[in-house]
Amino acid sequence: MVENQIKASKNAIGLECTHCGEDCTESAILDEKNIFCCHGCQQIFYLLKDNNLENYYKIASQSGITKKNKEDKNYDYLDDEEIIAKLLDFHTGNKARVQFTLPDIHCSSCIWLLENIHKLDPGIQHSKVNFLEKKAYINFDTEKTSLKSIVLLLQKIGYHPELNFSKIAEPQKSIVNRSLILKIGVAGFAFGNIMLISFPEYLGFEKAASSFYLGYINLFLALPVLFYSGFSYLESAWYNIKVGKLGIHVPVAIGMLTLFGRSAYEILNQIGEGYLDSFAGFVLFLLIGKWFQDYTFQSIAFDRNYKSYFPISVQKYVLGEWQNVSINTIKASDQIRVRNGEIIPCDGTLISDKAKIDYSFVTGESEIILVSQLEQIFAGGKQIGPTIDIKVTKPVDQSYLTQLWNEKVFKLEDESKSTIILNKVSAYFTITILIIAAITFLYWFFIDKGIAFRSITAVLIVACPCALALSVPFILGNATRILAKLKFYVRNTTTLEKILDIDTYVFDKTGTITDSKLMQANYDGQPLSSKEMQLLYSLVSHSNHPLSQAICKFAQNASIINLDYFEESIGLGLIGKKGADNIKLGSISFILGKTENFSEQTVLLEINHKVKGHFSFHNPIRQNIDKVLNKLSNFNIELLSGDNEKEKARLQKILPNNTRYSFNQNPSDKLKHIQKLQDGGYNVMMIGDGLNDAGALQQSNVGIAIADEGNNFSPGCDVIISGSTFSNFIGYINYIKSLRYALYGAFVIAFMYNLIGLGFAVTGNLSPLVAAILMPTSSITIMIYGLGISKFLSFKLNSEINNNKNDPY
Amino acid sequence: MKIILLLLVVSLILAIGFLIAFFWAVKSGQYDDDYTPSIRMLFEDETTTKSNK
Repeated sequence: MVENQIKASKNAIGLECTHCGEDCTESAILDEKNIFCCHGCQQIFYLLKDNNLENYYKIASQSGITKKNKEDKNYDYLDDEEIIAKLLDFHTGNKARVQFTLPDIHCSSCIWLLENIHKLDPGIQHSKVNFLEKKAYINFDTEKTSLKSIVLLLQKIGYHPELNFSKIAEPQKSIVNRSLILKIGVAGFAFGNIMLISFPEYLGFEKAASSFYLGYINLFLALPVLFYSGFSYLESAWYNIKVGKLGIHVPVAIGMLTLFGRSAYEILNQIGEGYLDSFAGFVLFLLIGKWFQDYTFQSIAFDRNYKSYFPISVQKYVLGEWQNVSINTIKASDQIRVRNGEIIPCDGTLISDKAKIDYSFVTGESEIILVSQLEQIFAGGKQIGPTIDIKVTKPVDQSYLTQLWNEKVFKLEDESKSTIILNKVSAYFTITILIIAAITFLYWFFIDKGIAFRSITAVLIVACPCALALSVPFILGNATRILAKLKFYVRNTTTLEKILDIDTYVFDKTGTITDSKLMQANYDGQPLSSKEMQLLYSLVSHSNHPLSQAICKFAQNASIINLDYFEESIGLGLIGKKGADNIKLGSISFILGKTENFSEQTVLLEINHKVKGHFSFHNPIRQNIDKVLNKLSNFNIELLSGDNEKEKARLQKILPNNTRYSFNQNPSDKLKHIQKLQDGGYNVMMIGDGLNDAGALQQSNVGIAIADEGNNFSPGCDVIISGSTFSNFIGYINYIKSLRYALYGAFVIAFMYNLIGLGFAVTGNLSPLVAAILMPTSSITIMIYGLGISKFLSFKLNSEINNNKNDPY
Repeated sequence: MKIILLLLVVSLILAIGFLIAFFWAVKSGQYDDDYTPSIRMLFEDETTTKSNK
């Protein structure tokens, strides 16, 4: 909040912190030559300077990470051997290796500093950074340093390691698919060499008797392509046939087997040279397409679940003392202690007198809930204020919040990565090809049995849907990258295909339609005179409480006077005096002395011992959301809210008329609501944020999570979009929908090539040379077309985004 | 023709050698991160301190 004030009062002179580069005109700390925004930054600067690490500031601009607004966490649990053992990758003798996820890694300076971290702690032997995954791998000597001191050092220099429950509860998966790279290598190797060996024959050199040895070498080179590189296609085709589907892998497998079978037959019987180069090339192109399609955003996690938000350990009361224990060992009726700012890992009842819980993690609402002794506390809340003790009622994996994840939807494996559209097309494709093959065979069978055999295999060879199979990877794969550059992160290409069919858009209210970061104050009661406004403004400007800030904005036209007396009772209210005037502002219990249950969101104003009125608060509507929604009015729009109906009137003004509203929805209601829509035959896109939408996001056909700065919730979603680019939402959707026509174009091109090939095949004229030219040409055409068209279509989106930037209405 | 066969065999052995090298490179993790090394190589070497690697 202080930060906001500083920004507001920022003038022409800007002072920049030497460490983090943030403006620090007001709070600057000056020494000899340097200016810092806070002591944290100053400390880091001198720590680095004393250790000859000043290069940090030279490598990249904006290298420093501000220490402001970042609370240092307590890492005492890292003394516990059991927890250490779970965190370390390996540990033998005094050598240990650990990997940290450091979300603050953002520039080349970070890499440099983190890889030189051994200068700050001699116990560290080696450290290596993976920039895209935002990870640091650190090897250290357990006798000279400890895991805890490394973590504290990282925290000290501004890189807060992400240590959460999922780190020990789930195996760490490597993101890079090494086996795919190896398969591509093998296929490429075989393709190149077979091509080289077959080349003389294409040029028509005379065939010596020994040239058949070349065929054997080719066959030998092609074996690993069939049994290693391309084997997964055969497997998947077999699986498809077993369940009675004609997915794209079926014609692919038919093509592969015919190519290989006929070539082997020709070579072994010494009647021809076979089509092995086409075969290897076919597999190579398919794998390249797969690799291109599988591109993942390494720093974005789409599969986070509650485990990523929970701490690793918690303090538990054991035999008269508090011990750090891993949270999966917590059982019902244990007593745990939660400090300021820590997430409560399990449901329980409060033992301490009072607690203030921030459930924004769960509900997306910034309202702070007051809990008194023996009342229920739910997992996922964050304690604000002094340490509290809780008696656990349910262990972590059975808590109200985590039960969401035990719903069936989270257990369903995402249907195979292969594409929906392609599988539909390929069913028709396969049937057509088989019919053509049968007719060709029957026709030639009565004329010449040899030609019949040759032509049926030729038909199956040219029918290889190589170009077809590459269309989706290249068009949609490239679109995923283009969208990622424009801050619309899609999990995979299947998600894009699902977006094509969306006809129902479901919005969550809090955090989606409304902006949960901002707060707006509404005043109800007797009108205030300008003098009273002055008093009010002067009072609230002393306080940093979010509600005070909101009232501050409400009264901002008044001028400030100096109060004679000011007092803030934390969490309750404010008292001020000016001359004979008394002003009091605060919760109902603070003003009226009642201690009933109340909503903290109501603030009473009392001037000279008379209640003047009250303030209520709501989150303002997200900017431009009305424009976004009105463009969607051709579709079904639904709004789900965990709140009551009090805001319906306000929402109706902005949302299109055909919107349907559902209020008082708890997380599992939301999920069921989506299910009901889907049962009615709708394809649902859910747009939401916060953990309470997780179930609905997962259940929907496409779940979009809005991630505002600073909160990186991405539970069970398919797309992550940043709040700042949400006003371009329609642009993104239109771009994705336009890709449908790009795909149709690709199908037409692919079929053209297949038709040309069929012309050769049915007449029995398909020579290995024709196949070797036709197949790579068609694949490359599709690749170029795919990359080009997806780029071309994005121009419109690009200019739209630029327009929105230039014209902030 | 025989000489061509010999040449082919030699070239294949060489190519297989490269394939093995490629396997080793992938398995040792060189393809896991294709971005950081491109930055790392631009850092100035320091003369004052000795580093492990």
